[in-house]
Amino acid sequence: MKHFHFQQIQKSFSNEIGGQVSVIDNLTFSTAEGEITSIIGPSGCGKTTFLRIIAGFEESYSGTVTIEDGNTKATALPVGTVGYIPQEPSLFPWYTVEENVAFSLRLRNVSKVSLQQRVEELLRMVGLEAYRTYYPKELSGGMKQKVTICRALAVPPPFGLLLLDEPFSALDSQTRNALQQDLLSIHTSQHLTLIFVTHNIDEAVFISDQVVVLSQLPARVKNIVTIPLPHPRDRTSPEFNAIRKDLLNLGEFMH
Amino acid sequence: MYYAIGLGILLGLWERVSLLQEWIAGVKIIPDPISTMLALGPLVSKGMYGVTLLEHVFTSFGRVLLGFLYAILLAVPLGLFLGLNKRGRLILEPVVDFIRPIPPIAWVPIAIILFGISIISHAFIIFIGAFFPLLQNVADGVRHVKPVYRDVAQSLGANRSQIIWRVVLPAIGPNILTGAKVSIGIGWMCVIAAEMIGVSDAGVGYFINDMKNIGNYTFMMAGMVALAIIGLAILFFFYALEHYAIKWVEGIK
Ligand SMILES: Nc1ncnc2c1ncn2[C@@H]1O[C@H](COP(=O)(O)OP(=O)(O)O)[C@@H](O)[C@H]1O
Ligand SMILES: [Mg+2]
Repeated sequence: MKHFHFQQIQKSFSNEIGGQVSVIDNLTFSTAEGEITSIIGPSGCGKTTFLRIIAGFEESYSGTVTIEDGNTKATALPVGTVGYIPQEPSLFPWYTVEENVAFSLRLRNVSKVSLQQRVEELLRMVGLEAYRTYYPKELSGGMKQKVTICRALAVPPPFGLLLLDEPFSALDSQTRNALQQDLLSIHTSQHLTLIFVTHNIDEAVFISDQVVVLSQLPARVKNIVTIPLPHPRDRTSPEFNAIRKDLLNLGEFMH
Repeated sequence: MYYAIGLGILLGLWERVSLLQEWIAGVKIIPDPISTMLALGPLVSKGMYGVTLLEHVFTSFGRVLLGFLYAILLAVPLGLFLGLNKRGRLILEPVVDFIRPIPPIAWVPIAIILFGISIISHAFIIFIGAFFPLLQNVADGVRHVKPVYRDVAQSLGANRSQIIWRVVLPAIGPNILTGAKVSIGIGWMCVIAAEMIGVSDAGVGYFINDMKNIGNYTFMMAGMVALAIIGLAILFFFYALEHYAIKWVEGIK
């Protein structure tokens, strides 16, 4: 069983006048293989910066990212070893659905047959096998996000870790709920560990095993709330709402 | 439909101007549209001094194409380099800023000294005219590729050259096409001007000027109409190319 530890992560950016702005201050938490962790916090508090650190994009930060697997330990995850879905829309508009999903497979010269098979399998999983030849501009917001997830998983991330940065925030609430369901089933079928940044407390309670609540800039862990409810969860049940209320109180600054 | 109405209005105006000019001067100098169109037939089939109008068109077009191809071959890689490399951009910017304002036609003497009167000297002038708009468009395009595309490509395992081939180049497809459209227009302008100021003894520019000199204004006008037709053909070519090559762009169906 693997564990991912993020310990004392600190990061600051230099501002225009040559000073340093601390964005993340001593951020520490852990997650185990197969878990879903949500990160919530006010906007501009450093959530995206934190995901970019785990994904390997930021070079100057302090603290450690460790994967512990039994007795072996590895530190830092180089770019390309973690699945990453950025906050902005990121499907390549010049490629079709199929070409987008196959992007990482093509880079690795996977044979045509197994490439086709993998793309087919992933698109089937999200119900988009009929849209292989469509361009992103021809898809709805929800479909685009599904394809983006498929693309991130085409070559399974080596440690099974997938980072998602507010992936559903631009969707209407019905589509959003449907995609949360889809994400849960993808999480199970693809054996993933998820770190999921969101603004939406309902979403965090619906999908996660633990919710990391961050403070305002610079981000520190304000609280970690574990959610022991079994899946499928009922958004209207008293237990669900009790946790929601706790989080709302913790994150009262958020809205 | 509206296109036909517009063309009709243009031909009508031309007819009026021609009549008015004849009425004022007593002799017809500006030919009317009908005789101009009628002149196109024999010009295409028999030509003048044994050279048909089509041959002049091909001569000019060949020159444009050659200069344009060199411009693309050089401007795209250089534009990529400038767009990707900040230091390179800072060094080359003054060079570009210094050369660009010199109108291509001002290069005619140098072209003749270097290459004599040949297809190469024409292509050289066209190259000068076509190169800078292409370079500008490519470099701007590269700088405006959204960083998120490079990030995801990298997180999906792409190295630097894979990012250039599979992300940056396709992303700037529309910029290359826009640059090419502008460039080929400028290329035409350059070739006609160069032919008119006597860098050659063939081509549509030469033909128009020659017909003016011998006083055959109908044929001169027919040469201009031929230019209009070529311009339209190029426009439609690019239209088709957009639908084929960059059909992924929002707003292109
Ligand atoms: N490359 C950067 N240079 C300077 N400041 C940055 C940079 N990236 C982010 N920031 C700043 O860091 C803070 C946190 O940003 P971000 O991580 O995007 O927040 P969130 O995702 O929580 O909304 C913001 O104040 C932002 O302006
Ligand atoms: Mg963010």
